[in-house]
This record gives sequence, structure tokens and C-alpha cells, in this order.
Amino acid sequence: MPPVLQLRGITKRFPGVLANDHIDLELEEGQVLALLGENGAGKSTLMNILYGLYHPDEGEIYIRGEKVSIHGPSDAIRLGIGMVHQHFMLVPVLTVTENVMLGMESIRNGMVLDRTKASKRIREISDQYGLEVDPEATVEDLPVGIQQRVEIIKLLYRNADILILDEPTAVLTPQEVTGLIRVVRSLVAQGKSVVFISHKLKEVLELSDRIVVLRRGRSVGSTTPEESDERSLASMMVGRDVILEVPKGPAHPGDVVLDVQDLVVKGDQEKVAVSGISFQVRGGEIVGAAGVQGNGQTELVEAITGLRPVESGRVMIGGHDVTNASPRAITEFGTAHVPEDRQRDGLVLSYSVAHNVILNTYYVPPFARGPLMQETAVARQADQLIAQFDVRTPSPQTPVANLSGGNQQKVIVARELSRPVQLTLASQPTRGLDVGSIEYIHAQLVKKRDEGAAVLVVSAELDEVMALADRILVMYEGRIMGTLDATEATRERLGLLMAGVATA
Amino acid sequence: MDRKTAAESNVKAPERALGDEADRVRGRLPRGRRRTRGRLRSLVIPFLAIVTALIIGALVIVFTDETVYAAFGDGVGRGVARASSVITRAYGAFFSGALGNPVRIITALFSGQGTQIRRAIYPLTETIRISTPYIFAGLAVALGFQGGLFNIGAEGQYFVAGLVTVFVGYAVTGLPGIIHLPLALLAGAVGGGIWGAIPGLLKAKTGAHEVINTIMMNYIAFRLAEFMLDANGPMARGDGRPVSPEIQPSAYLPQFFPNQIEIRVNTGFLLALAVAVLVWWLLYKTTLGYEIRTVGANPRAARYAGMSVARTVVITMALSGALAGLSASTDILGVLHFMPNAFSSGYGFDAIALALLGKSHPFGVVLASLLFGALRAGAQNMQGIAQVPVDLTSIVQGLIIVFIAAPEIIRKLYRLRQPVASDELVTVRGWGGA
Amino acid sequence: MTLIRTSAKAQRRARTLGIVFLVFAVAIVLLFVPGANAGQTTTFGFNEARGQAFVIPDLVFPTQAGLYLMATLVAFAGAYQLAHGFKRQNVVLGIVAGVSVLAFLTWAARGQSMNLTGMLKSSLLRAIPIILAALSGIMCERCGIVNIGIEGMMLMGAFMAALIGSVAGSVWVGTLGAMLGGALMSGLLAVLAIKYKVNQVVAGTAINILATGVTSYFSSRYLQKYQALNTPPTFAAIPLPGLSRIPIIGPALFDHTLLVYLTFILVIVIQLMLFYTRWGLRTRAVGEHPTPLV
Repeated sequence: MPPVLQLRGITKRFPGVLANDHIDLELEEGQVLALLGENGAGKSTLMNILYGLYHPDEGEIYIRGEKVSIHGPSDAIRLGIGMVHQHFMLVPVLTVTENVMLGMESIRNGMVLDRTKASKRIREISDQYGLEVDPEATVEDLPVGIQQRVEIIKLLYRNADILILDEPTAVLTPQEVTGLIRVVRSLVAQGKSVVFISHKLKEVLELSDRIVVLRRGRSVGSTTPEESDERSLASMMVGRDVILEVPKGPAHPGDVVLDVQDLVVKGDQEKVAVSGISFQVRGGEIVGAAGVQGNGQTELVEAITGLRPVESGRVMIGGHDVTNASPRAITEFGTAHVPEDRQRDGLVLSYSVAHNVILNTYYVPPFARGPLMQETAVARQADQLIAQFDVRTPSPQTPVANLSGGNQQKVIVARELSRPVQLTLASQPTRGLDVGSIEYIHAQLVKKRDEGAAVLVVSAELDEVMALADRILVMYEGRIMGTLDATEATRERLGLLMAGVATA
Repeated sequence: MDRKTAAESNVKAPERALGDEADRVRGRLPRGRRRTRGRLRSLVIPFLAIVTALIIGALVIVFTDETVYAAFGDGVGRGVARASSVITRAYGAFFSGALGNPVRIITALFSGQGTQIRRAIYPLTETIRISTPYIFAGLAVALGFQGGLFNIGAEGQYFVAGLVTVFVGYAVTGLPGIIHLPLALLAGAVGGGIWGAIPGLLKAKTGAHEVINTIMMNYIAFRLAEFMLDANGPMARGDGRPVSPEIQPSAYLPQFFPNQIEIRVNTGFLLALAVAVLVWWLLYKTTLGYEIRTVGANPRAARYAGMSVARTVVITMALSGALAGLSASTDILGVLHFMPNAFSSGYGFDAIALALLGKSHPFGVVLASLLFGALRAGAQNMQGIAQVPVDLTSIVQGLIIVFIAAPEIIRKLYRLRQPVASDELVTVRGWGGA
Repeated sequence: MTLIRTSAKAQRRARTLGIVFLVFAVAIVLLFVPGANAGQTTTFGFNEARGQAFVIPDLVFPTQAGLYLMATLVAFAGAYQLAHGFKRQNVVLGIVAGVSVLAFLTWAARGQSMNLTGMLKSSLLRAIPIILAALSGIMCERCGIVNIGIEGMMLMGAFMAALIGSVAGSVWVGTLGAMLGGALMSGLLAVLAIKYKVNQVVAGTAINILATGVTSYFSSRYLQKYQALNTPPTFAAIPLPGLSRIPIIGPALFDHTLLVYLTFILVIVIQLMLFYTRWGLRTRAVGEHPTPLV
């Protein structure tokens, strides 16, 4: 019997990026296939191709041995392929039944919605696979884990037999994850096939029948849970093709600058994202926070910088208690912050370079005198920073929207690192940048350290953390799994910690 | 999908930057001249929008003129001749009503006779008079746009400010003009400012959308004015008419031609120009203006930069309301000298058009206001001489907004090239935005 | 944690409501009672001229005493709300609002008589255009459109109804004309918002100005000149047999024109369409969250 799903040589290029590079994949009936890889490894692109959202530049797709071409989600659904997106596509104010039938409504008497029929079918599906979903409930009242099951019911209602789950555990609590695993088991037991996208090693090992690891758009290996363990998967996932080297001397740690005690912070969905973290960063050292994204790093940095409320615990900067202080107060205590999302948080894209380099100092001399902006001083500052930080821009008056990503980031780095600060926080400082910009920004961070500032770098890229940091702390599910000295940190040890294995 | 566009823009951006770099190396136009050319180009769409709207207006006039149909009955040539004479007559009256007759102005100037000169420039003075409240109201909406807020409440703020101004104008007596006039103006600004700040506060505190709340505040203001100025209302004159008492002469805005009552243009216009400069200065030269524009352009970045988004929203709405309030104050202190019950002017709603037309820039708003003032003044004359209803102006104004808001139509019509992205119109995010 | 927070919120709301009730009671005493002289009475009539099944005697009562009674009632509601809290707060709020309106009417009709049935009837008549416009607003809001231009659409509808109704001499053709006029304007809104990506609020504003201009221009050009173009026939009232003879609600609800009955039906039809048809489900889904319908 041919496999349910077979991909051959799928290649997808975005301008400048090779998102998928000749990927082969096979899914047998009743199997769970895990697609494992870091963010940006090409997992989602591949699945979006399968779901008809993107078209591959090369390669073929076979369903039960027949070659198919998928031009859109409706094609995919017709072929029995269904996808649960990371962000649910549910209408919160509608009931489960309404959500499930939406787009495929049962009708009676020519025009009246047949809710009874639909909800009966939903109940059957729910019972058959042990989903325990009440068809009459309103979606917004349901916990996230149940909402996810509603998404699964939507697919089953449309008779999908290949189910793609895109990072399904990212939004779930550990208990909900257990429930999901049970559901997936029950699905495959009754003949459905599942593709499970994840970067969490434990779940992948627990749930899947086969594992395909993607890295930088390529399939780097196919294995089974029996013949692999977290260690081997981690090293496959992280890879070792590029080794970044940052020229730097030994650190000379001084006084404690950033002191975080028992910090608890909630994420966007009222879920605890940082659960009781304590650590210190000293002047003159770079601490790298490693970890798979979504393990509380974003919330940690936002809480330190005053952008997110602290539930409990304490943040001290230079001996001052800045817990729940305003972002401005924290900036004025001598904190620089290179934000994770540079376009959304760090820049006003329609503003000129000059007006962006004073974004958080616009109100102090020399850029302002009383309520008045001092454009000459602003222009002088812009000229100086453009030269000093090598920002490639036609003029200081050019809107930053017209600059490349690397130069946009340099504008932020110039703004943040040119100030005399005692603490520098940098989140994903080099994400998506070219090698030249990466090296430059790394050098600037090291320089800041050598000037005596405390530097905390948050990055999902292990290479970056290893190259930059003097000390590395690894975050996992809102906690610090371990702290390693840069000299004793190996990729394998870090990989294990990142995967939540404490005994590294 | 997002991922794709992100990937694309990452790549496009350096190319663009490179292109600019290359331009600089090749030494094309110097930066200054390029910028002027860019500014000129940004005027093309508004200009064509106005022209197109006027052309459609002309077509409306022709198609609703029976004499044209009658003439076409006598032959096509006759018909065309009649149609063009109808348009010439109507638009002739329109332009001379808006700007005056140039020949007459020149002869009058050469004659040196005061009466003649005043008669000749009368249309121009009317245009300026009408544009005065427009400038204030337009600035009010434009300031809101700059701060990312849609102030549909200018009309209501105008009413409340009118009530407050007129009250200070007639109830406060015995003050010298130098104190009374500024006091009355200030009262209007404060009244309008408070009326605008309330929806701002609601937005800052509860996130309630300012579009809904400013509309609701409009209704409250309309009914409040109706109640206060009802024939028996608390602010009525007391002679059975639904109007307020006359204000004290000490609160009058000085006229340019105090002996010529028919020329109604007054120093309110100078005040309007001064306030436009002030708003420009506030927006582009002060830290508060920088905060307002940052909150308008990217509230997340504003928060990151340590600005208080809530405070800025309240301030922006209060300032916007104050500007709308001054619109009423100048109208009452400069022209009407009392407040009638039926005060509806539509200024507050036209102001949205003005802000759009002026691309939310204070000087653009001044130009747009002069245009709308001219449209109104010209239409009066057109109705008097050519019997074309004044309401043609609303049609033309409506069309201008449509064309400015949907420049694609104009571009298609005149086969213009696509613009650079930064030419985008400044309005509000969220609601109804793409 | 969240539970505590919501109940704190609810408590605050309950307290506010109680205070509001008390304020209403005080307002009745302060605003209305001083206006009435000691001996004055208020008369409420309930009978319409046309034949009704039986006659209800007029309600005559001393104005001041009535007002005090109403104020006491409202004050009691406030006190109870503060002390214990009503279970069905919104119902009580409705009753308090109703009593307050009644107090206002009692004050307004002091020393004279007022026909409540007639007032109900004309209230309903005046509410009809608002109801219809609100139905339009509901449909727009449900599918996620901010329609500022309803005013302009109504203007255009009114203009077309007058013009086409007069020309055709038929109320029905006139009604169709009105619908056409409104649809024309909303079509324009759709084109601007969808094809040209104009901000919906801006497009709605443009439509209001445009509709004002077009209707007043054409009406002063034609309708005022040729009065014949502005004399549309009007719907005649059709008292529903039997129902219209019920006292009070008969004349108030069942002695109206077809358009009024049609409005009643439309309210129900739109409710059914929105919540019981495929179109309604999809409309609501799109309005809340456009992505699920891929």
C-alpha cells in the first residue's frame, strides 16, 4: 500500500530565503509523524504548501500514491487534508456547533440552519475520538485546550484523514498537553494520520512514530523515537554548520547591576509565563538567556523594562527597586533596551532616522529645551550616530521604513548603545540580519560590556548565545533550567537544558 | 502569509536603500530639489481631485438645465453652445463670487476710490470670512488624525463652545475689550476642549472608541444647545425668538473695515492663521507634538519610548476640541454677535474633509479651508446670478473627499503612475482601516 | 483571582446602580414637585376617538401626591438595591426608568389631561425610521462594517421616495425607489471601502456629504419648482380588524400603515436571518473574525 502522503523534493524560495530545500517526506496511514526543528527551519512553510497556502517552486505531492496539485485550502480539504493552525481560526462569540458548521452548513427546508443535525454529528465525532466537547458551548467560554479540540472536530467534520497540527502544544498547559496526546493516540488508532509540528523534544519522543528533523530549510534526518533520544535530537536540530566567533577578551565582572528575585509574570493569555525566576547580571559581563522561543523570555524582558506588569517578585537595577516602575523611569535608571520586535516596538517606521535615534531621549537636553525640540541637536546626534554605527542611509531625513532590516536594527542599536547606561537588554538582537550586521552588533554589545555595563542578551540562536555570553542561563517553561559558564557550555548540554532536561 | 511579506520586505528594503545610495553616487538631483519635486508631486492628486469634482459639478449643472435640453432639440450645435454658455455663466458667477472679478479689482485699485475697491474685493473677503471657522475646525480634525484619533465630534464641540462663548460675551459686562475678547475666546476653547477631552478620557481609561463617543457627545451638544436657546430657554433673548442675547461690543473681534458692515471679514482670520502656525509649531517643534505624532504613528513604540499613551490621547482630544471650539468662538465674536438656535453649519463634518484634503498638515488645512470657503462663497453668487442651487458645493465637496480618499480613481482616470509608499494618507488605524 | 475581580466589578456596578436610583428619586422631588401647585391634578386619558371595544375611565390623581408616591417607589428601589441588591437588576432599572418618565409626564400634564394612548401611538410612529435605520446598523455591525453613512442613505431614500412616488403615483413604487436610493449609496460605500480600500469612516462621511448635496440640489432644482414631483401619495392607516379595537394597545400598535407592520415583520425576519440561516452565520463570523472562512 502506498503511503497516505508523500512529498518529493519540495522546494520553496522566498526572495533571498530558501525556505524549503528539496524536502522528502512520507506519512503512513495511522502514523504520527513529527516535524521537528527550530523556528525558521521551514516547518510551517512546508505545511502551508501542503495546505495549499503556498505553492512549491519544485517538487511533487502524492496522496495515496496519486500525484496531486493543491491550489488552496479548499483543495486540501477535498483531498482530506486538514490543518490546525497555531492561532485558532475560531469565532469566539459563536457556539461550537456554529463554528464547526461554518462554511459547510447543514440546511433544512432550503434555508434554515440545521443545528440539531450538526450538533448530533459533532457529538458523535466527539464520542468516537474521546474529545469531550459540548456542541452547545460558546467558544469564548472554553479553555484553550478545548478550543483546540474544536479545531480538530472541524477537520473531522470535513472528513479529513490527514491532520496537520502546527505547534499544537505551544499554547497548552502541561495537563492539556497530556489530553492532547491522548486525543492524537485515539485519532491514529482509528485510522487517521497526523503530522505534528513541534520544537519540543519530549513531546515529539512521546507521541510520534517517526521524526523528521528540519534545519535551515533542509531535512537533516529521519529517525524514530526508539533509535533516538533528546540528546541526539537536540544536536540534529541545532546543528553545527556555522560557528560564529566574536572577538572578545575575558570578562571582568563588577557589582551586581540587574538583580531579579522570584519574578512572576503573566503572558498574554493570563497564563503564567515567568514563574519565579531569580538571577543577577553584573557590570562588565554578558549574560545570555538561551531557550526555545516562547519559554518566557519575551515576558521576562518586558517585565524588567516596565512594559508588562510584574505579578510578584522584585526587579532591582543598580540598587534601585524598579518593580512595576514606568518604562521611562527604568530607562532613566540607565537601561538600554533593544526590543525583540524591532518594527513594532523599536521604531516609528514613518519617522526619519534622525527622529528615531531620539525616540526615548527626545525630552531631555540637548534634544529638547523645555517643551521645545532642538532640531539642530537632533540632526547633529543623527549625523554622529550614523557615522559611528555605520548606518547605511541616504540621509538622516530618510524614513527608516526605507532602510534594510540590518540598518533598521543598527538605528536601534545606535540609539540604545550610545547612551551611558549601566544595563543593556537585547532581545533577539540579530534575528533575520545578514552576517555583516550580526558581527557589527555583536562587537557593539561586547564593547558595551567592556565599558562596564551589564548586558543581558536573549536569543533563540544557540550560536549567538555561545559566542557572545560569558554566562548562559537556559530558560524552559518560565523557569531557569540551569546556568552555565560559557567555558563549560557545550551545544549538547545547552540543548538538553533547552529541552527541559535538568540533569545536564 | 505574513511570513512571506516579511521575508520579501526584508529583501526589498536593502535594494531600495541601495537604489538611493546609487542615486546619490550618480549625483542626480540634489536632495533639496528632489524634495521640492516630491512635494509638488504630492499636490497633483489633490489638484486633479478638485478639477475632476468641478468638472462633474459642471456636468450636473448642464444635465439639470432645461434650456440645454431645449437647445439640443434645435440641433446639436445649438445644444453644445447653450451647454457651454450655461457652464460659463454658472462657473463665471461662481469664480467671481469666490474671488471677485479680476478686471473690476484692477480698475478699482487704479481708480483709488475706497467704495469701488471695497465692492470689488467683497467676494474675496467673503471667501476669507467663511474659511475662518473652517480653518479651526479642519485643524481640530487634523490634529486628531496626527494623534491617531478620529474626532467626529468637532460639530458638537463647536456647539458647546458657541454656548460658552456667547454666554461670556453677553453676560460679562463692563470689561474692556482687551480683556473681554480674549476671555470669550478662551471660554470657547475651554468649552470645546472639555467636550473633546471627555471622549479622550473614555478612550484612555476604558478603550471605548472615540468615533462612537464623539458622535454621542455631538447629540448631547445639539440637544443642549436646543434647550438653552429655545424661545423660553435659559439662554434665550426673552423676546420670543430662539436666539441668545447680543454679545457686548467689547467682545467683538475687530473688523477690517469697521465702517462697512457688509464686509464681514474680521481679525478672526488672522487669529486662524496664527493658530495654524501654532499647531504646526506644536506638532513639529515641541516634545508634545513629537509625542502626539508618535502615539498616532505607533502606540507600541510610544509606550516603549516611555511616553504615556493615555495622557497623550487625552491631551490630543482636548486640544482638538479646543480648536473646534475656537471655530465657533470666532464665528460668534466676529460675525454673528449672537448664537441662534439653528446654528448647524456643518463645519464640524466638513472639517473631516478639510483634514483629509490638507493631508492632516496645518498648512494644508489652511489651503483646503480657503478652497471650501471659496466654494461656499462662490456658490452663493452662483445661486443668485445663475440660479444654480448652492447645494452643488456639497456635491463637489463630497466628490473631492472621495477622490482624495481613493486616489486610485484619479490615477486611473488620468493614467498616473503608482506613488511611493510614503505618500500614504494619514488617517486613523483600526476601525475600517485596511 | 479573576473570579474575585469580576465580583468586585459587579459589586461596584450594583452600588452605582443603587445610587443612580436614589439620584432619580431626589431628581423627581427636586425637579417636578415644586412645579405643581397643591390643588392640581393630573389626568391621563387612555381612549382614542375611534371605536374601541370598551372605554377605560380616565385616571385622575393629585399631581403632588402622585409625584411623591413615584419618588418613594424609586427611592425604595434604590435603598433596597444598596442594602440587599436585586437579582434582576436590569428589570428593576427598566422599571425605575419607566416610573421616572411617568413622573415627568405627571409633571408635564399637571392641571390638564394627557392622552397616553395617543402619545404611545405617535412615539411608535416616530420610532419607525429609527428602528429601520438601526436594523441597517445591526446588519453592518454584525458583518464588521462601520457605517457612518446611514444618514446619507436615509436622505437618498427619502428623496427617491418623494420623487418616484410622486411620478408613479404609487406608494409601492415610491417605497421601491427609496430602497433603490439607499442601496445605491451603500453600493457606493462598498465600492469605496472594498475596491479602493478607503477607510470606512471616511467613506461614510463622504457619502453623507454627497447625499446631502445631491438631494438638496435636485430638490431645489426640481422638487420645489414642480410641486407635482414632491407630492407622493402616502400609506393609509389600516387598522387591523379586531386587534385595533383593544383599548390602549389597539390604537398604539394596530392602527398603523402597512410600513409600520412591515417594520415589525422586518425586525423578526432579520433576527431569523442573522441567527438561523447560513447567510446569517457567515455574516456574523465575518464580522467577528474574517479569517475562518478561507
